[in-house]
Amino acid sequence: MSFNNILVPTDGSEFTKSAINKSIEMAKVTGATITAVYVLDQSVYSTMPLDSTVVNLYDTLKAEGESAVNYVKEKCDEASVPVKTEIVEGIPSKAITTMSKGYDLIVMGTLGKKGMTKVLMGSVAEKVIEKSQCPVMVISAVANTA
Amino acid sequence: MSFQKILVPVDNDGYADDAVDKAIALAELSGGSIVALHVGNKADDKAGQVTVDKVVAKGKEKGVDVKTEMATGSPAEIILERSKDYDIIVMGTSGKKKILSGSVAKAVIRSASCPVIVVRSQR
Repeated sequence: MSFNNILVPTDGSEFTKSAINKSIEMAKVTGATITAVYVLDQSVYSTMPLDSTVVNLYDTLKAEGESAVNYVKEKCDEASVPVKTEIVEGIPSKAITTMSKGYDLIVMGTLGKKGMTKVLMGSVAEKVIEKSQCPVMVISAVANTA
Repeated sequence: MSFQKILVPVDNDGYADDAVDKAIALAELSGGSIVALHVGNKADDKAGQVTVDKVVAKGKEKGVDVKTEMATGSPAEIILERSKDYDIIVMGTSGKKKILSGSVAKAVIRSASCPVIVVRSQR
């Protein structure tokens, strides 16, 4: 039962910050390496006609992803925690659970970036817990402010 | 040092066994200690006492201090109440309607005052 490889999904939102902080705390205690992953949500653009709007949206999301994982990288560098970054495409909960085989722990929060996603992000965490091949550490909105 | 006070809710059906192992592994790394919490329906729950005593024994094998608590009532409510006093909760889930069912884990992850590690039982 180890804690050597920690997966930290991030969407770049404020709400992910406490999950990132906790994952770094965990990595410092266990000597783990953190992998920050941004899932480029295909469902956002997959039903749109293939034109310049889609390309722009894709580029915007890609840029958001890079910024999100780079934030984690910076925080890990500050804390001297080994870190890798990845951007993958897919449906967030599915992509995360697929990756879970290769990790000892996933760390995530329960609030997402969009207002209505307040409910949805909780359900991403729940879906991940249901299917993950490794334990999942969840930081609730309550724990977020504690 | 982080993750010093670790709460581990346990049930009599073994769905928390993997969570217990994970919690002990964490305690070994953090130098922390564990409280094994059993939430049942009645006072003087002998099966529950056996369950928590097993956790104490497992902890001893690894040099980890485990204390126990027996409580009665709603598992989710009691775990959430306790969460204020701990650095982390490590709990199992079977995804079925048992003490550590998916619904208890869901309620806890939504409102706990501390982070919660959910270890899905391999059983």
